[in-house]
Amino acid sequence: MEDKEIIGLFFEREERAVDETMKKYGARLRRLALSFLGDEGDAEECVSDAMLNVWRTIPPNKPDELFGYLARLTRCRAFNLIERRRAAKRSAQLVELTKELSECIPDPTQSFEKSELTELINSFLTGLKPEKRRVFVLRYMIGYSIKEISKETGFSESKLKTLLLRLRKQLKDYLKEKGVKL
Amino acid sequence: MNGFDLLDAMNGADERFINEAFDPAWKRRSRIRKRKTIVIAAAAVAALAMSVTGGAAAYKAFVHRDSVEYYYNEKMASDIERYGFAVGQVTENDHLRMTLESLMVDENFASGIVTVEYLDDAGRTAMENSNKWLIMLDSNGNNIFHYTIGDDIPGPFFGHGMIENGSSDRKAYTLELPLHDPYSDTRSWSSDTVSVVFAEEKDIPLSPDEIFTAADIPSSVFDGICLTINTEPNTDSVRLTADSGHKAVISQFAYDFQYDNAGVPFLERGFPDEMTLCFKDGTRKALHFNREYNREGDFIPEWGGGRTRSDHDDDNEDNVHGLFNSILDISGLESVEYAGEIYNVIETGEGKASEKSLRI
Repeated sequence: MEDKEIIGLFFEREERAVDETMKKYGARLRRLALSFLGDEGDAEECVSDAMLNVWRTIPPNKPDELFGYLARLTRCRAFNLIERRRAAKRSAQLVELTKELSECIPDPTQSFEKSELTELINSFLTGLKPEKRRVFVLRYMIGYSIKEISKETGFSESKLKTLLLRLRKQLKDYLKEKGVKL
Repeated sequence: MNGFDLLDAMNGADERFINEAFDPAWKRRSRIRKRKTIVIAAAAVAALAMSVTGGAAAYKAFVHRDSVEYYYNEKMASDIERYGFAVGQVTENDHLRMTLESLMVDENFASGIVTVEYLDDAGRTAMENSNKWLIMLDSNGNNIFHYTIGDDIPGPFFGHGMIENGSSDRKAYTLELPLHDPYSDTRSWSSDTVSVVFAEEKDIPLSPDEIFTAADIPSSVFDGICLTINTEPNTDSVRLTADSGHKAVISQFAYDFQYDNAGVPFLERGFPDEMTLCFKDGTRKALHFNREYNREGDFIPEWGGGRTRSDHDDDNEDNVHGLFNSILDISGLESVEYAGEIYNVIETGEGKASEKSLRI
């Protein structure tokens, strides 16, 4: 079913909308949640919660393309769960991604408004060429492993590692330039 | 602030980036990309009083033939020996031994295969567990080129993995050195010999831009390891130009092309996979990518590896450098058909001490 049709079902308050959404995107959303949560049960819970949120927010929201909207809500939900379960062990993937992105912080002692950081990230991503942006998004927004990105993009794993290394350096330089102090 | 905060902040990132990442149009691009990012196996440039110039070298055999065959097929390995490009030069210290197995040099690149042997744990650790800097020094000992290298980082010194059935203490690397800066037309060097040395990244954490001479390189496990490369071309090459002004250089073992992507929708841009050599006597030789995968899951093109200079900023133009998997006879070459253009030969250079530079 096309996204427009699914969104139509949401607007008509047809519960079938959720089924159709899960049929089309469920696996991908669970995969995203699993990257960050590391536990199948938590991932299922996360996706369920996210779908509830989708039901509550469409309408009035009417995304042009559904998956981006779903992925963002699922990711948010995953991070809420991570925050709530501070004492719990973080997934290996999350630890790895956190460690990689730590390289991008010019000054770890400085705090930053989250909204400001989001804006900077959006601006940084806007400035990237699409191919590079795609790799960055798949890695850090969707949480894919290098192997998975290689399968998606056709790039070799070694090339991806180089590319990500350079992108992280670029992000660091960008944050520094925009005022995140060294 | 830490890495988690950055990850968390991405929750608010624009959805269109996610939608773009999953656009079905990428699937076609991905198939084309597989051909474009083939690992370039090739030549290790070895140094150490390299005295071979052109075809005058006496026949030598590889020290470790399996290192060369790891990256090339058997025929190419035999051709490399037959043409006199086998070297067998060694540099070593207490921790590592590097053997230059083969060397092919044209105006733009020096390519070869290097076998690295670990003589102790320190050598193994240095090669396998950490990133390093490769630093190229001119004949005066000045830093002219440097690059981060590591087992997972394709670049001028790159090893995919242990040779099958080989010793766990031995590994084959490709060495591919630019003989001019590929990213800056204003920076070039002319040095009859260059020395390739290594430094551990932990000793130079920021950048080896502060390495000006050999004396600035901190002592490390790599002390005493030095590959000296004779940069005099030992293969024939030709320079070509298309009517559009795009340039190309083809040698007996490698190619460099500028070509045009203008007018091609971004998601449909691909890597031209056919090249036709046209000779003065009317004969034509077509070269193609094939679709076999090597053990690393990359395409092996019929004519060798290929990759773009990925930092090229112009969306409408692309550069590609690659290696042939056979040694070509380009004598009598008149033109090359590539990427929809005809590139005409404007200048030729012989492998032995060509007087004119054919760098793009």
